Amino acid sequence: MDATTYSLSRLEVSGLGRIVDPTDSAPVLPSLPTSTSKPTKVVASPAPGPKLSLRNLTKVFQGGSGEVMALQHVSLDVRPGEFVSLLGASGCGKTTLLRIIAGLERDYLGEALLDGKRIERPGKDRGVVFQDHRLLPWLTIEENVGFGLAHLSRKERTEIVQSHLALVGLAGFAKSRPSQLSGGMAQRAAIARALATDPEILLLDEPLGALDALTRLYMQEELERIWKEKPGLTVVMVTHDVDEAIYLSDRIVLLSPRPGRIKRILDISAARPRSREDAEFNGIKRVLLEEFQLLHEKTVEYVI
Amino acid sequence: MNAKAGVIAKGLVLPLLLVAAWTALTSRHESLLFPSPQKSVDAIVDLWRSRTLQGYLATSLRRYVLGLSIGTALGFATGTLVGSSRIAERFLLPNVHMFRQVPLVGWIPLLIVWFGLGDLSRVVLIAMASLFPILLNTHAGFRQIPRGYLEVGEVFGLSGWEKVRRISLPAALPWIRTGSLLSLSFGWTILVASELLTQSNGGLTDILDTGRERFRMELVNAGIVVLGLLGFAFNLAATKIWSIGSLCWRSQNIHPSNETG
Repeated sequence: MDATTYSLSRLEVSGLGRIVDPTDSAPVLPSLPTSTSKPTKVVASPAPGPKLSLRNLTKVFQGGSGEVMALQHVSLDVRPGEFVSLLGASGCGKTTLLRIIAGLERDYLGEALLDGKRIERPGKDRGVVFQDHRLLPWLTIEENVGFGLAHLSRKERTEIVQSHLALVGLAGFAKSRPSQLSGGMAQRAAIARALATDPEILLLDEPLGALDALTRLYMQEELERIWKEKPGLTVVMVTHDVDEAIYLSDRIVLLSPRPGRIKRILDISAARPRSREDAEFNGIKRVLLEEFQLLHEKTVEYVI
Repeated sequence: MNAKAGVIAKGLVLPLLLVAAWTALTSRHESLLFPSPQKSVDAIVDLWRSRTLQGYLATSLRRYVLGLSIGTALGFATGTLVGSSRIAERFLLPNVHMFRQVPLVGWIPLLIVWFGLGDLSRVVLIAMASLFPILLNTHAGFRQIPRGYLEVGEVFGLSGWEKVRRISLPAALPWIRTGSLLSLSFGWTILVASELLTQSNGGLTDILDTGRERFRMELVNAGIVVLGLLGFAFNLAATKIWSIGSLCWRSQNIHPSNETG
């Protein structure tokens, strides 16, 4: 578990360039009534206490064919405002890890602490976006985005919903139904729903995994923009897409499967927005792929 | 609007042809067994003028609404219970399926002995008829709720009751709707069966009975048409009520993963 820092020296913003973004004029977010004094985004040290702290997390599932160890001795600190990716092949326990942080898996060994308090159930301090958007089909998009705001007055709710629809670029789709939206748009709505309750941590479980390749690239840029427009927002994202992790993360946590363990943590301190074609981007990619042993030459035996 | 009118017009073609053919045939030589449609219309108008039809209607509707309300409410409640509790499901559902296997009219002798030949037996029978469709469909509706939706409720910290109200019930609503419509039409069928138990019961089937006794087939035909039209109207009204606003979302695209693209 060695930490390596890769600094991409002075990246020129070129390469893909920016895809035209209809929502580039950043919407002004109203001050939310539920907001407590949130820490501002920490770009560099001195680092305050960790937002999220995992200590020796171990999770065992009782399966039909005996016990399956999904996570083994996972320890990780996430700083406030940080964008951390959990990267690994399927079966490495990364989704289980995220579900423990979300409070959806309660039966684990070790400690998962949020602001020093043990996580035992889901809470409004954490917003969750699943791979399938899970918008409720009987509600309109605005009702879905306002789902976690039932305790507020109609006026307050409408205000927050409108600003978050604008944030994710869906201002014109308030009255639409989820079935009328494309996959990318539905996932934006899901992000807006997760952010509307003003969480301190956003948990993303392969949020772009079900999207086509082009929409995925565009949504990666959108995710970065949304994260920047929510000062202090900590993001933990599960992904199996190496490029996505490098493009978005401050740190990448590599997990190896069976049982899920942290193999390596990489700091990515390159300037944003990052170019996906840059030599150093590809340098990091090479390191990651080597960790997954995807770059080793395969020995092939020919029998003639 | 035009398209809708077209659909209705096409549906009316066959009945109108039948009436026309019937009229044409009976205008040549009328038999006692097949009186002309005009005679049936006259019979209905007479019944209406003498306020007999209104009396029949009130009596039948009272039985139907009472039995249907009891059966549907009980079926919905039981369906919700066995749909949301595994323990209740294990205890109750096998018994529900066992009782359901007894053909409904098979209960009639027992009901007569217990509740007599009056309205009580009829209402109980109608309630039993409308109990099962909504019960089984509500159960199925609750059982098909994708786990992911319930997790959305958990993530937003909903309490048990809030989860039922804001997630489970709306998610099960298309199934509950189907069940309620089936209960409605089955209850109507069984109302007629229950009324035919006794003659001169004061309900709509008295039209049929009177016609049969006095060999006035135009009355029998009129009674059948009235029963059919009323059943059709109830079904239409219930469908309309269910389509108010977003009371019942469409069940297509239930699973979000089908919508990627």
